[in-house]
Amino acid sequence: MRDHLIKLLLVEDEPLSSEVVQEMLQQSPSARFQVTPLRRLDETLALLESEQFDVILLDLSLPDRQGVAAFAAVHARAPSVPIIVLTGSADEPLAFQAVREGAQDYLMKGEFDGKMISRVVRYAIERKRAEQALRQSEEFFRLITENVTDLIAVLDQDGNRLYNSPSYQKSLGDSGSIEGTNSFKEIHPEDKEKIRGIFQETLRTGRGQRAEYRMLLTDGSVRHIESQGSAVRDETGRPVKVIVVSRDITDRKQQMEVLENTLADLNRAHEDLKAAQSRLIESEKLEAISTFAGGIAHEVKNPLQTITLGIDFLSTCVGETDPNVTMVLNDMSSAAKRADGVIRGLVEFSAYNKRDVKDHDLSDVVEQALRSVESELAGRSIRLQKELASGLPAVPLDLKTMKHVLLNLLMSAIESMSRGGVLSVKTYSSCLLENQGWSDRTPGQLKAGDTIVAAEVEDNGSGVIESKLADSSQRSFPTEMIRKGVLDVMVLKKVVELYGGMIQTTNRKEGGVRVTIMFKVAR
Amino acid sequence: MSKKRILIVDDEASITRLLRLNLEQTGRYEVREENLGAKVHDAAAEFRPDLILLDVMMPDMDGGDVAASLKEDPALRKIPVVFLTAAVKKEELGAPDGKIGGRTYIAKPLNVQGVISVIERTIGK
Repeated sequence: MRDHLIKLLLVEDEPLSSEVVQEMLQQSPSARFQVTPLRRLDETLALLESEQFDVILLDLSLPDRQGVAAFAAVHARAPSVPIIVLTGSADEPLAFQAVREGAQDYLMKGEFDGKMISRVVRYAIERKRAEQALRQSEEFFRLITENVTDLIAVLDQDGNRLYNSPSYQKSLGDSGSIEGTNSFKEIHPEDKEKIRGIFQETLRTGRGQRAEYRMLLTDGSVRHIESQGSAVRDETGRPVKVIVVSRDITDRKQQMEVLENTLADLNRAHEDLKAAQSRLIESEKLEAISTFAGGIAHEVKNPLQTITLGIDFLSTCVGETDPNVTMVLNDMSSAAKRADGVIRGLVEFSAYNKRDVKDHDLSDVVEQALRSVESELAGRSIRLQKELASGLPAVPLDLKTMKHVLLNLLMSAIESMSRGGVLSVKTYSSCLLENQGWSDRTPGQLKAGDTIVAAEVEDNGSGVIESKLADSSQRSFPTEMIRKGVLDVMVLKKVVELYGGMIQTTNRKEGGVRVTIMFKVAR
Repeated sequence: MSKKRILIVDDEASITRLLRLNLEQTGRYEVREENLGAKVHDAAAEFRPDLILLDVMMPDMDGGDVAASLKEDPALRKIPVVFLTAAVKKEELGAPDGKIGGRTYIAKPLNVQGVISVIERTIGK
């Protein structure tokens, strides 16, 4: 320390006093001083313009300025230089005031010695240096906290706010007004306990945690917040405060939500596209197959004709002689009729190769099909029970084909009620509760949650759906459906599948058959 | 009462044979079969049928052309022709007499009772 030269400006108008001070400083064993003595304020201010000092010793009664005003003038000119005020014993209150306004210390004339002045001067320099360092670091801290958008808070052990960064202004109001309030107050009631638990654990363990929660602001709005806490320990290492750095992630959350929704939409669109594509392939396949099947059917017709005419002939030949022969001929005859039904179906639908798929209201299609069978109903004392929903969502269909399918279903129901009955026809829209599939071959064609429109044709006639699986009366039979005496349910099934729909058939417990056609409604 | 003479024309021999057997079984018809369209004219001239059952689609000749050639022959033009067709369905024949555009049709597949009733409607019992 002794080696370090301290540049000291001594401003004192009394020559004797000035010399005494200079003498003391030169004698100092602990520091070396280079003293510049001055007598007046004006020359002091002038010199400070051009020269740097480590410390100033300033008498408060100068010829050209007295009292605290003298200190203020010098301090204003050299704010970073520590000033020690020299004063007479009568003026101690004045010295105090100067200290309050920024002087480092004061010395009473006649009451100090060389040792003391040297110590006071050196302490003043050190204190000023520390003060400046502190001010710089405070400024630095202030700049950071005022400019971050993150929310920084210091909380006591009960969660009361000791400090809040100005960034809180936007959500909770200015830092001054929320200081001392409890930080749990604005946390959403549903998240409060969770966050309180995390806060207490941070205090208990000293380990901070990341947490996400919602804040309920006084204007009723909800913000999503992400916070990272860290414990502040006292001298004994015990966590006593918690610093919480938070960020408002509401926008991010909303963007994520939008993104997720978009992704879900995209996935759905992708699935729809896949379904449409497979329907297209299915449709092309069916067209090729139906052309082929139509050709084959024509070829099968003639041999089948030979068989039916042969059966007719044999029936008249053998007459009533042998009941077994009659039974066999009857079986052959009905088998030939069934085969003929399937073949006719194939031929009919292969004629609809040119399809015109448009959006249609299923109720309209049913209505049109019903008009075609009106005369049949009247002739057979069948009562029509009609419940057609209005405003059904449109589904893409080929009107001609679907009318034909419905006509077949209606005719088969009518045929089964030769002695009269009730024909019930319904359309409706609903949401499927479980996946529907024809069989293992086309699983999950319609999925749970799909919106469908359906047409239901129900009779109380004598028909039954025959099936290998027909072991109970109230049950849908997905495959092997050939209705007694009716041509082509198999063909109808294929045709309906072509449009992404499906047919379900049920043998009603009370007799008769219910056939339901379902189509998926595009979103 | 003499038997009605029916000429059956279809390219499928088993069909004409079985139709013949079925009609003969009734004891009311004398039947001749022909399986080639080109031979129908000669067969008709020789057999002098009361009615011809004529398949529309035959590999060698269209039934319509065969009928036209019969119409051109003053000796044969009066013989009624009933067409057998797989191209139309029973329901599409509409009118109960099965007439479309002046022609009488029977839709395939044939059944014996249906054929007989058309014959009876056309030329009487």
